[in-house]
Amino acid sequence: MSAHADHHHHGPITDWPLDPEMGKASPGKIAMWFFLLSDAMSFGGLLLGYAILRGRADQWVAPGEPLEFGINFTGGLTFLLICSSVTMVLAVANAQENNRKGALKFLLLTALGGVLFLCGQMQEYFGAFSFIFGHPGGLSGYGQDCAAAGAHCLTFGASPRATTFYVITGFHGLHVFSGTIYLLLTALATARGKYDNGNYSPIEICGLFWHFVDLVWILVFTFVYLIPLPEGG
Amino acid sequence: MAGTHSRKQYWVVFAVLAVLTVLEIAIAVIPGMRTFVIIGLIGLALAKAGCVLLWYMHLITESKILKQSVIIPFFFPTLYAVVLVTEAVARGRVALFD
Repeated sequence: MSAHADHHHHGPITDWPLDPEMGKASPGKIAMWFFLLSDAMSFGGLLLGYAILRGRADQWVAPGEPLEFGINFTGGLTFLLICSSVTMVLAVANAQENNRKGALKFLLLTALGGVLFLCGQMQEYFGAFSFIFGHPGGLSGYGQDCAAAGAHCLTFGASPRATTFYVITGFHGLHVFSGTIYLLLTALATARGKYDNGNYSPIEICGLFWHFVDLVWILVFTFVYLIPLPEGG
Repeated sequence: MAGTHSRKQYWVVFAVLAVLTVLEIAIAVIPGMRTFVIIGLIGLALAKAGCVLLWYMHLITESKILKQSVIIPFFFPTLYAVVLVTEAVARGRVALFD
């Protein structure tokens, strides 16, 4: 072991001592894995609740609701998260090579992916960027009288479909938001040189959280957006 | 450890994820064959999630016990899902083949 957590040395930790069971994973990394597992169970519970409600509904799409959620637009958001995952691994790779500038660049690009995803979600919910993408009011019909306009709106609390949609995608959006803040704080510490000289573990741990956000979205995208409705909704 | 992965591998995984996403969207809009579409979509989603977990989260290079600690708990919600689907099929709420 070239350097390890020895209390008599004050240099950076470049390599964690080999543990017979946990390998070279640092305690921080193991802690993040267990946090992510508990978080995964939260999403698992939400998706199972969604499956129970959807499976037992005679009519999943309530009258006045849109039949689809806009698969192409959300497919674009999925691609955005995939791009942000690759920039995240590149940030870690640069940090490992002690390339502070490269790590910082890719961390900021990843955070930008998070910001754009949240903007996309605001467009989807409320039509916040309808001047670019159209669909004013978004799925919720924000700022519109849906009944009077004869528009198809998805109103929180109006049906199990609407509520599960906003709760699941909103909970994921909260993870994107917190992940973006986490990325920006990690980028700030990187810019200050805190993770130089091989001390890249905090960037790798931040990456674990971000990849988890991507992983969960893959499942949410499939179950909430892509699984087709039976005939008649 | 992330250091054992090459940048080329990251881009290959990126390409696989992008292709599988396009495939998902293409499959989702196939009319009819709903059961097969659903099975295909779930299979593609699990393949994508596996790619992220193994190569982007570097689980593939972690120790055996850490891999087991992460992967085994996912069998529980999967088991609940299987029970739910079986129960729904048994009650006739869901047609397995339509």
